[in-house]
Amino acid sequence: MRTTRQTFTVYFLLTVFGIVLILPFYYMVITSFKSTTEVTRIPISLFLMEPELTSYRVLLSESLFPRAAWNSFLIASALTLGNMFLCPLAGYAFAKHRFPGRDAIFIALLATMMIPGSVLLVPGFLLFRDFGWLNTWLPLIIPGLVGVFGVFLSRQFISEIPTDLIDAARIDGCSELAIYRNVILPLSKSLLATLAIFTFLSAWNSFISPLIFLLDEEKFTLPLFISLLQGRFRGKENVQMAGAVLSILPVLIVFFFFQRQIVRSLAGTGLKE
Amino acid sequence: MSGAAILARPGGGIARNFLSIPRGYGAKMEHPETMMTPPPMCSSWLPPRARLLLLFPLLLGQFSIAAGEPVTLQFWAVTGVYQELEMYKLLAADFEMQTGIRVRVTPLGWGNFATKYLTAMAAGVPPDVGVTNLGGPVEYGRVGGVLDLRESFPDEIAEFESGFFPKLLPGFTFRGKLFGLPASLTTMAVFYRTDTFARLGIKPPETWSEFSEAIRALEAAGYHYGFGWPRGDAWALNLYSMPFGVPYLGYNPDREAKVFWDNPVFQEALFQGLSWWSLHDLGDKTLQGARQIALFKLDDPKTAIPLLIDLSFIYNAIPISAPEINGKWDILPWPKADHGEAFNIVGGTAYVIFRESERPREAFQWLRFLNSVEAQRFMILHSLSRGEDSTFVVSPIRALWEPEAEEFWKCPEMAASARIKEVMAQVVDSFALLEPVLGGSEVGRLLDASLDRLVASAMRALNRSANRAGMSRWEFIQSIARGEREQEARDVESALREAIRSEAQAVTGPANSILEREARAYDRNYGDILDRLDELDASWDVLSVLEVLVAGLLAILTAVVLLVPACRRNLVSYLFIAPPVVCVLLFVVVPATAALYLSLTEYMPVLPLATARWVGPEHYRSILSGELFFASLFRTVLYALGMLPAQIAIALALAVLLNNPVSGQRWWRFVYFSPMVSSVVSVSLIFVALYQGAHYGWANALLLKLGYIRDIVVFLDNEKTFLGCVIVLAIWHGLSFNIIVFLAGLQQIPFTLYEAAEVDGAGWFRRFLHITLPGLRPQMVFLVVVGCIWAFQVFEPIYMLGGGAGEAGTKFGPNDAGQALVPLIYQTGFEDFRMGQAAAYAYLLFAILFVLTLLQVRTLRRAGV
Repeated sequence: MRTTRQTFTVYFLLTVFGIVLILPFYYMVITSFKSTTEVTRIPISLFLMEPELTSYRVLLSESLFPRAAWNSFLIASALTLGNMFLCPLAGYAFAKHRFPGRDAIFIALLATMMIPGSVLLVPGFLLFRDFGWLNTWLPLIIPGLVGVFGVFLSRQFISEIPTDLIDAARIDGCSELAIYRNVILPLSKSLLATLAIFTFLSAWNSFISPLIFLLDEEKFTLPLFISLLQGRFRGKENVQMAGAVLSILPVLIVFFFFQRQIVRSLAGTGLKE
Repeated sequence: MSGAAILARPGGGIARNFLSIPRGYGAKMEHPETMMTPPPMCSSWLPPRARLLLLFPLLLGQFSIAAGEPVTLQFWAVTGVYQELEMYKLLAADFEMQTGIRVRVTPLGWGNFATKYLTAMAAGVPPDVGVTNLGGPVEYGRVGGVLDLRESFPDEIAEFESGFFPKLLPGFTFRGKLFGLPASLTTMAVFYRTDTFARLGIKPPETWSEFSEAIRALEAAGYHYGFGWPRGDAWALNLYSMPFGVPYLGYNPDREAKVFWDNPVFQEALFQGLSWWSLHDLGDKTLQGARQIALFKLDDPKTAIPLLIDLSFIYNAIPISAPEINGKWDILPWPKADHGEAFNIVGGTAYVIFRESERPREAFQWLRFLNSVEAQRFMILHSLSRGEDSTFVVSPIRALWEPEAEEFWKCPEMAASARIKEVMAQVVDSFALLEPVLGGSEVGRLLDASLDRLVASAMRALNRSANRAGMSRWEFIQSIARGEREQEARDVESALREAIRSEAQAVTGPANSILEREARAYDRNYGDILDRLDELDASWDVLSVLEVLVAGLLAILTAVVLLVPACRRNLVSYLFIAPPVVCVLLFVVVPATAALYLSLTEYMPVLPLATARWVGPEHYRSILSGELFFASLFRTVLYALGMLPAQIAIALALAVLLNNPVSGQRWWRFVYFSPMVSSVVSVSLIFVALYQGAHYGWANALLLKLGYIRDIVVFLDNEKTFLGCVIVLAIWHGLSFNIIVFLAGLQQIPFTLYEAAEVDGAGWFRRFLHITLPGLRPQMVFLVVVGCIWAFQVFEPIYMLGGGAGEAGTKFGPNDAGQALVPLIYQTGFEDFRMGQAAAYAYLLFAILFVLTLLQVRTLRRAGV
């Protein structure tokens, strides 16, 4: 049986490593509440002496932060909605329909996942230039509206749904789209949650494509905006950290409340064979 | 016909052909102002679900057109601070009142803007007028992107031109064409504490030797000195060489572009400059602005810096953030060299009018307005009214500096700036810009890396000698300053001189051959090609071929589905799978194929794609016979090896720990998983601050306290520590995902196994070794495979730790210490715009990843997973 000493050791180690892990966040939060004077004070302090909101005021009034956050939200939402609708749709066809070429097409789709994104940057740039999509959000949204990985996950998930249910609906005279809406989607709540979380997070944090495809700051996404802070608020770490706080905090709060779901999704997306 | 002659072709025909107007959306792009109107907030009266649906039209609404707009100029402003944007907006309002022309001001963040403008030109969506860096006009002009002001406005330009300081204009001139005009200027200046200098009896430094003496005297008294400019940037080369009157880059008497690193006068300048920078105390990019002033106002010798070098424009920020030292400090111009005809280094911004502009007349009117005396006065006053960010910008207009303008300078708002005006008035005549050369930015990067190596070798010599003397570096520097170690000081100096000689030898050849190659490539690309632009624009290129092929393929597929009865019965199924199939064909298969073709060509993206020149496997040959790619590959492997094993081991330990039945699971997991959901860009920003934030960050404070280091280490400016910093950050950020995967694995190991082992008397370590580890084998293999694939594509943390978007382009660490494969692709493709070579790099990366994955899958199979 477990001894008290063992239990103590476990708690002790968890605390120590936890502190180390959380330290950067701690630094971020306390620095964001410092004044410019306190940030530059010597010797540097481990604590927050005179909390202030100046840095947040500066960030919100002297930069395009709100706009960048809204932009990111719009883009990520569009991608999330697109994937939540289109991935299970294709996944359903691949899982439950029988049609010529089904498996070949599916395998061909999967094979394209081998191509790393960095190979597509240069020709993608030229392609979107051809379309007149540069300096718009279209190259960030349209190609990502239906991810192959999402289709793959959906197919795996939907093949577990009993075919009898679908057949019953068909006998009742439901159209395929109605089956999708009334049978498949209601039974795929956890799949949809996974897709939503996975898509939203990766869109929210995506960096290199916006970096290449967007030009003027009014269209910038949040990570792009954050990447400008080092130069724009040079030496004003409090403002930089306020930016970090405001970009990380919303995600952390959502994460705290939907932790179980998110962890399961991410582990799932990583571990399906 | 040479390129220059073609640029002179009347009527500006190049713009039309050269920067081909994009198909499809082209028409909509003419009114980008409507694209940028903020989307209306979701109306609250809609039911929640309908509101969600609104997102789609909202997004599309971003790209819709509105008719009947007044004449509007697009103006992209490169703004260091947000207030500058406000300033331009106020000026625009004034301009509209006077002329009825609307100017839409759009911010383009400081940094990386050369890339942004070139991209905009390549895409055919540039604004009418833009603010850019001083090198911008010629960089864009030589590829036909901006107007030659002399050709386009022959009647007005002569008079307008003469209003500026004449030594500035060569910086905007290329082969006789004037591609831009100065916007605002600044220069380097010396700030010093009069009280400290008087107490120590130091003469305020006006020449280089006096400056060196001042540094020594300060150090002997225990003071540091500070500089707000990175010593290893190519821009710093101007700082070193201009006071000596030798450019580091320019034209020889035969009008061939050359670097002058082999010039002894330049080498001496470099030696002087580098010894100020590197043989004394530390300096780094982050020690600027607010932080410098915080140290400047102190009195305590241990921390104060009574002498600081920074851009002249911080003058007005000092009294606002440090009023307690009013009257105790002064400003001096950048010191003159003891010999040689000095000229003053200038930083700042410039205006350009883009060729694509449909309203060049109005654009020119706007430029004239911005450079009018009234507008310039307004800009000066506005810049001075920004609180902590107040700056004194030097107007490039001569009229403001002439006696007639005295009245303006005497206005009450200028009272606080009288002294800096006086100092700037002494040097403004000598403000000068270097004559631009082709390939200057690429050579600049080469020289940048060389400077990094020189700084590193100077520091090494210094550290070595300090170690030998049994002192910390700072103690050693002070002891030299007190004149106690003449011999050692000479040794260190001669080591630096030697390093400069050998760097000059190593760098001159490659740099000159880049310059030669660029000059040749320019005449070839813009010489032959510009003649045939009309024809080329209409001809087929690889993408249009592929687009047609895909369309054909889709048509055939549709036909098959519709015509073959077996398929037609399944029409719905095909419709369901159509979105991913079309998406993948168009956005993966087409680009991937095009990339393969591109990698066999040479292509500049400001030209039509049909100008891509077939070179066969030349890129692969040169890449595989050169060093650059392998150096990058080596760094990438180093990164993967440094990160993966540590990350997996730590994650394993933490997962086993977390798998214990503890109370408050939710909280523990929240703590341990939180790094994962945070954006890596924001996380990098935090780590930059930890590595070298306020007073060199917590990392230095910790290591100093623990006694691991004797002197401060500027981690991100140090070639040896840079990649380590990236690795630590990556381990921290990726840990959570690994833990989650392991936890999922741990839960699958049957508990009975442990019980049986415990009955057999196996301790926790043996249980771990014989049950846990084998049980987690699939997870481990998975993490290694995925981790490798991710590690080979690392980009964001390196980009951020390298300083993000620099003013002259991106820098991936000192001496390219962090230039892994994706950064290399990014730089080649989107900063040098050498698409062919970038595509070749990308394909090599693809090949490596492919082989890696196959190998791992095989190992996986063999391991029986």
